[in-house]
Amino acid sequence: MPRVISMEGDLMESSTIETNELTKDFINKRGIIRRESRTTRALDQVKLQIKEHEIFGLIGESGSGKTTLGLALLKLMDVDSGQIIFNGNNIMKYTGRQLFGFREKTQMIFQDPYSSLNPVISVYKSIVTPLRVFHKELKEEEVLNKAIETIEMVGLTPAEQFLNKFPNQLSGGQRQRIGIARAVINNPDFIIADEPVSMLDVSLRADILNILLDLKRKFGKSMMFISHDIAVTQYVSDRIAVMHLGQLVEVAKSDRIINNPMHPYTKSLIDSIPVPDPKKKWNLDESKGQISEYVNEGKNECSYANKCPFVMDNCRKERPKFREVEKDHLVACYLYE
Amino acid sequence: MTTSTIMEVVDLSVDYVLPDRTIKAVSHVSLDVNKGEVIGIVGESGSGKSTLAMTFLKLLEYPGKIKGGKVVYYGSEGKSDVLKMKPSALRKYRWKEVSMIFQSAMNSLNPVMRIEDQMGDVMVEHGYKEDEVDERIDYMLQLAGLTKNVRKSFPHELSGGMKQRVNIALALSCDPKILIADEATTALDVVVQRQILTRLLKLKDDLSISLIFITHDISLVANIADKVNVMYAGKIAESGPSNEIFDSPQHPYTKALLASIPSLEQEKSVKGIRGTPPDLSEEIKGCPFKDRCDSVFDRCKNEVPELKMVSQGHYAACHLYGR
Repeated sequence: MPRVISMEGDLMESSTIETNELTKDFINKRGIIRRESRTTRALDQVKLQIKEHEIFGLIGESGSGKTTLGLALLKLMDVDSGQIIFNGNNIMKYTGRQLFGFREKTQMIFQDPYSSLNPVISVYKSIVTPLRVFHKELKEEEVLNKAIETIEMVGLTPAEQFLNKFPNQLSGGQRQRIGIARAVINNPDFIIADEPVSMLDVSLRADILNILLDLKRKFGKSMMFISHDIAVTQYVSDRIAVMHLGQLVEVAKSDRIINNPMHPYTKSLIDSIPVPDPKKKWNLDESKGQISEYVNEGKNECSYANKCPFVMDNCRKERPKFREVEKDHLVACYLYE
Repeated sequence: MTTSTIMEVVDLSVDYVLPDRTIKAVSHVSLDVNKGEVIGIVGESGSGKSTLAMTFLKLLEYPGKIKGGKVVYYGSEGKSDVLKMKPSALRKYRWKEVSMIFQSAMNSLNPVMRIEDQMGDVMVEHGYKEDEVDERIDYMLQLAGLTKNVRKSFPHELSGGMKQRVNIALALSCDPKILIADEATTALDVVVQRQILTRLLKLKDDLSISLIFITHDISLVANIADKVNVMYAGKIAESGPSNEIFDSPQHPYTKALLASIPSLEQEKSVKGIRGTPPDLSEEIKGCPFKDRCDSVFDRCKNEVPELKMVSQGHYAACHLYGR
């Protein structure tokens, strides 16, 4: 087994979850008479390590495989090959009781607070269901206390007022807080937040982001924060990984990704972010190229080769390996070899 | 109003009349659009920005009802009130004078028609001749940054960014004077968003059209707009040149909104705005922002603030300013 690249020289014991060469293909069959199949590689040898007490940001365009990676990490979707190691154990073969135990320790916060809560189930019931599933021994009173404590933790006070409400009586921001409360009630080690603020109004986003930061600071949770909004990701994350068509192209500390992006794709991504400053009007130079649509068909090449302005012969012959170009700054690009 | 004004909205109010309640979606909004200008309209969801845009084209349907005000369009044939136009006049006005890229542009193409047929339809309807149309489709697609191959495609064969470009091509196909983009890039990722917006801004310069840009993303507006209108609870809270709005925001709502966005450059901790926007179906006494405002005082509770000038061309609806 190839050794996982360590970010700070220390070995696996400090990581909550790590993956090794994770690969997943989606096969799209079409045609009735002449069967054709097209393979889309959603995850292409993804290798990453999320440490304890860390918020790990994952950014990339839509269709780059961010959500697939999130689902795969929590074993909500099977992968074709590769390994996932959670708290030092390989979870790939987990079934039955082992999987049940894993489920208690991992949770997910979903994107859409309007559809992820059951409209006919009260807040209290929504929140305590995961608790009841994993802790059958708890008494009614203990469950209630735990629910109140958790609701207050996500900033809904007084908690008693919210217990018997239904989702339609809550605003988007409040619903998302309930979604977070439900995810943290079992005290999980690892949480995936999949675009948790993209459906919320700008004025409500900040509070949700601060709650996520509190979960890390006060309760020491590890988290993967998936988003396509780079400014938001930078605000909460310690490190950021950039994904392009199923391949991770760059991993580094948040401020390094923003201030010193190295991979050509990261550069174009950072360059496109609108900045709230009218002095920085965009120049209308369109040399950045036309929109072109490519999918990762599983060839052994760099996923960005078709769009990259610096493309070389090498890029199509073999996909570039992750290299530590500077300390804690990993880039998969031949420009830095 | 100046000579270069092309559209003028005067004291416009729109209600949604439901059986049990009336929602005041837009109340007493006035704004001018000048030739060749980019106007940004920002606001949270439910602030009335899309409703406002719909009235520019008189697209509002039941239960929406125009309570008052007018939308004056200064066309080549003199001025006319859009809200009083007859269906025949509207047919000529829409697409040819003012066109719109819709919020759900990804889904606003007909799934069973080829792109060239959809574009051809619009042009033939607006008086282009059959032989002209063919050439024009190619030209428009090329303007929007697409290749000719797209002509024969069906919408499902195109990606989100390409569909959005087809919509831009469609919206521009009859040489409109004003283009309204309602959350046109919200569903796209930043790289594609930038490509589409640079394309739009370039077309604006080349064809000298005005652009009304509606979005909830205040940073985006900073990058592209000349003038910004910040909407809150159906009213304009602040309006002015974009430099001023971002460098010296006056209305507490604008300030709070800017403070709630994480910035890439400065290390600052973001702060959300407490509370939620008011329920527009209830009578709002005083300033609509009073429950979430940090600088609230007695006057805010009883008296509705009017838009007052803070500096040349910069207006804010807040009791803190102007007497």
